[in-house]
Amino acid sequence: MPKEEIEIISGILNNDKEAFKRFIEQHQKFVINVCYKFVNNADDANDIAQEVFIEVFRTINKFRNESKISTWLYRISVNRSINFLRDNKKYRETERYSVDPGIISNFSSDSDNTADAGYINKERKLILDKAIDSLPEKQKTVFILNKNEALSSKEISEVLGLSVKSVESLIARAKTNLQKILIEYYK
Amino acid sequence: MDCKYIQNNLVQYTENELSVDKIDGIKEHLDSCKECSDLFREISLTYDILGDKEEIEPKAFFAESVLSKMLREEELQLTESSVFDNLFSKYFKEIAYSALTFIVLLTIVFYLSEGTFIFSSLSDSDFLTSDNISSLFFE
Repeated sequence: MPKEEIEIISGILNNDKEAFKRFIEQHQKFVINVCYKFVNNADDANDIAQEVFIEVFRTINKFRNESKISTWLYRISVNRSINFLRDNKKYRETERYSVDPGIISNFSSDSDNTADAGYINKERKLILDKAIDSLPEKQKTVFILNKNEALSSKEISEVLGLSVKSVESLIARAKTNLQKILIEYYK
Repeated sequence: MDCKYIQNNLVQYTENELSVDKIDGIKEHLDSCKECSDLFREISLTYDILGDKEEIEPKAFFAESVLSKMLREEELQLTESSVFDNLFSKYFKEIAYSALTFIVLLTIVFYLSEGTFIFSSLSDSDFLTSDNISSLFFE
């Protein structure tokens, strides 16, 4: 761990708010974007990230220097985001995704050459986000960490406290399920 | 290879996770089946978006808002605990006296009713004779 980071951590341990502010500024973008990949909403991601940093401050004494800060931040961010999604299940399903059902039938072989390509791509993103969101919780978590955060199975296993084998199996099941969901959409 | 097999392996095919034989077989099928090739196109275009998720920026004064939220929560906790402490110290003596009085009264009532019960059952069963009473106390 870099010397500056060690100083910041020991500052936070001594209840130094200035050190904590520096810590937030260093990691805020990372934490917010991890949360965003789970909740798909910028305002919610900012709110969850606030909770993440408050938890960091309150539990910094549990942080072990031998593990990476990013692993620790990933763990708290993922847990907070999943809890948020659990608590807001209804809102999640009704508000966040409103894919235009007609757009799916408009996907044609030459659609990308039209002026609507941007719109169609946006809809594709929505379909993909919705499909990932409908995966079982653990599959969804490992899939996002693997595909969106580009973490290896080993890194995911450290973040989630699972074995590498379990992570690999969850990724494989997530892919199979995602394929089924996407085929249902496009068929 | 039939359509079902192809459609069950499109993601693996997109990700190059299949053996060379299977990849060749799927390629051959996709060249001759419009339904599967359309599906493959849509799925691979959608799947390609993975990892391309846009990055967002933190809101202005994010760090300051975390610190002020933390401060508010700490103040709220302090207020809640001081309200509890005040209420507890204010009413503690009264609650303690009331509880003690209640226990004493309850004990008296209990012993009185027990005595009444013994004597009433003795009189009901014709045992309340002078001999029986003396035997009760002097046996």
